[in-house]
Amino acid sequence: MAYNVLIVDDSSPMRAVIKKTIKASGFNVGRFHEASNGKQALDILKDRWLDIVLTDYNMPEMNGLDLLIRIKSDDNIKDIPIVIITTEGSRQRIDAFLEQGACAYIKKPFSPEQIKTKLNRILGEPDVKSSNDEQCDEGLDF
Amino acid sequence: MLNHQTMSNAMKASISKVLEQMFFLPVNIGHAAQAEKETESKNVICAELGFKGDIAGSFLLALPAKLAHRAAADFMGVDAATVTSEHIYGTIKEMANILAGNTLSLYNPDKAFDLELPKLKDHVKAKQFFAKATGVVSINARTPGGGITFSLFLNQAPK
Repeated sequence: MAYNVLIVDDSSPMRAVIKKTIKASGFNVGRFHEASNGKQALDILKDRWLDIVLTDYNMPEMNGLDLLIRIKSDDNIKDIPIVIITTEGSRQRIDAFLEQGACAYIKKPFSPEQIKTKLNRILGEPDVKSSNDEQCDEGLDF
Repeated sequence: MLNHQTMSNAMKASISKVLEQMFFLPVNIGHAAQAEKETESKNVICAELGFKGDIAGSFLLALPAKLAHRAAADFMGVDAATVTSEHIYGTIKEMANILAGNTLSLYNPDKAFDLELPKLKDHVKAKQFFAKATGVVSINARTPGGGITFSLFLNQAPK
């Protein structure tokens, strides 16, 4: 299966790094979509089917938490897994992401292995996922 | 109130981890004279990022343009010849963002903080600004491509 991935980050170099990392992880990506803030991401989500959204937290216009809340309150897109990629790793902030429905978070700096592990867990690549695996994080992996 | 030693340790640990893991730059901390000499020169790129939380202030990152170019190419995984000014400025702002967030997470993992968006800053004005600021912690580091200075100042009256 080829996955359609939306990367939301106001930094174009960081979007390039995330794309490069996902490609290097060996995922079968159908198409990458990119947005530089939450508002642009919502526009893309209106008329395209996405399998997963990876979003930064700290962005202009609409940050990652507000984007998460908007997606989870929309019946048409609420089931799309959302991964927050953030520099802000306090327990308080991570709990807020998970309580609002984020599937996982990845803390910057990250390694390619971390991205691969998270995406495997969420998208259920058969080589690593067992039938008993949880789809989303439970917030324990700082 | 700032614990200088804890903050200094957090900044050093962040520089090593972030530059090595995401920018593929081996780092030696504490080569002050060389790093300061390089970041005193004209061809320096400087990014500033404010924050609020238990303490409030700004981080400033300064590095030679040549090193910034190399860091952008390595970060994005592209040939240096294809790197544009936009890539370089975007990379340095992102470097400042990751360094600041990682530092504050290490300084106090139990407290949330708010980061502003990073912005480029005129190097000379930044130096003047820092000269007047209080509570400054400044870390100098040496990489194979040149020196980096990562500094913190606190707002005198945190809001």
